[in-house]
Amino acid sequence: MTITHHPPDDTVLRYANGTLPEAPAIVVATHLSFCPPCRHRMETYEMLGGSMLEAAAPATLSADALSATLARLDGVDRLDGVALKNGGKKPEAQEGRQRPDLPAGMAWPPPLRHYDIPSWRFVLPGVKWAPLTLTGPGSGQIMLVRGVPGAKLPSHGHDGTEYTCVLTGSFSDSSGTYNVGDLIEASEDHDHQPIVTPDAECVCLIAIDGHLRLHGLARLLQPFLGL
Amino acid sequence: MHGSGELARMHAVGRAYFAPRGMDAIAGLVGGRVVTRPAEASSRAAVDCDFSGLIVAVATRQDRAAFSALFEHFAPRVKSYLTRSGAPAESAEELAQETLLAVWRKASFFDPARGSASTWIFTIARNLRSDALRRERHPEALARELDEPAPPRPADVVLAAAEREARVREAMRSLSPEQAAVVRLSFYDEKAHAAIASELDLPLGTVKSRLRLAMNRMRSLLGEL
Repeated sequence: MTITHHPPDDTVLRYANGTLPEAPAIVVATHLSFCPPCRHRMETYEMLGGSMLEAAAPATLSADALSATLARLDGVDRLDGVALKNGGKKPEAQEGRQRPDLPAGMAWPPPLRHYDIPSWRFVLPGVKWAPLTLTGPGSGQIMLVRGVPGAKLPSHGHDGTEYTCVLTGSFSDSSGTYNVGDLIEASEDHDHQPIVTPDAECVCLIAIDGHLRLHGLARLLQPFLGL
Repeated sequence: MHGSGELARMHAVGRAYFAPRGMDAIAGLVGGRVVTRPAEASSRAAVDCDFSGLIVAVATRQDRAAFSALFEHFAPRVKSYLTRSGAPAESAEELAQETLLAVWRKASFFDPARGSASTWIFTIARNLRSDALRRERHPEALARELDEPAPPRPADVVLAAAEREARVREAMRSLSPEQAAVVRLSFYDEKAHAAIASELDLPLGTVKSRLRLAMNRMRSLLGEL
């Protein structure tokens, strides 16, 4: 399956310099896990950050900064990268995390392994969702949405940018069809009505940038979501 | 001991491109200080390779002298970056120390073939900063280990990394001082376009068009990478 929809440069840049809020950053990270060319692009921006770090005018540290840090080295639990690369147990295994069931053949993308995800909740006939719990203000909203083949979501717009990554199956709207790995960034003035492709179930990871501002679909969902 | 002669050469090329003009223009314009003189460029080329070697020394034999040298070079720059991106001086210093502690802890993850020491340390500082912001709101974030070891890569990608670093520096050097200033303010200082306009006393439209031109130039150079 070829990925045809990628995040714009500005979004990749904000991911690379750490300023994209957590919710859209998880969606972008998920896209990157599917898309080597975008990982390459992101790494180039990290190199830009490295070159700027190298050129930065050094700030003054407190006089004992180095000695204080040296004194802490013995207490640091050093990671053995070689052992990890050779299949050792990772420090943050995903066992024990709460997980909803998935359509057959779908695996959890690596960026989601750090999060507890609740069981699917009913939204509309044929449509279920599972919200990820993030931090407070500014991290944005993020959820998994699962539709049966042919399911229709109500027509909606967004308040704030909406980031969607397809995890399994596909869906379409008036702008096109989106397949596994595609990342769709929809601005607040983009109205659309997503329809799941008839041949398979579809699961998407969807984030809304910024603070909670419910309109359109979200407002319709509000009573179900307890928000 | 850490990477091939070819890698060393690419680092040298990158440093020679980047040191004389481009980054000076940025540091000079925004930081008010010129940190690199052309005469230092060739010695700095060797220095950057040494930073990679110092990280390898920390990884392989827990070399405290190597760690101290890394600390003295990078901790003040990490603090500078964190301060510019909005952290108060006290937490910027604390995070700079945490960044260097993470260098000690994760040194065995560093692969000189994948990029320079400064790029690797930039990503550590960036992640710690994001984690610190999240930790204020979400204690669970403490437990997260965000930078897992990267998956193995095809040889051609690995070989290309040093050249890409060189190209990035070349691209930055190719920008006009005005363009370099808005790129740095946007990417590195993480200021919104409106804040940049206010700081440089320029109309918002001018900032946006400068940034767009700068990114187009960067893209034309970097797009081939």
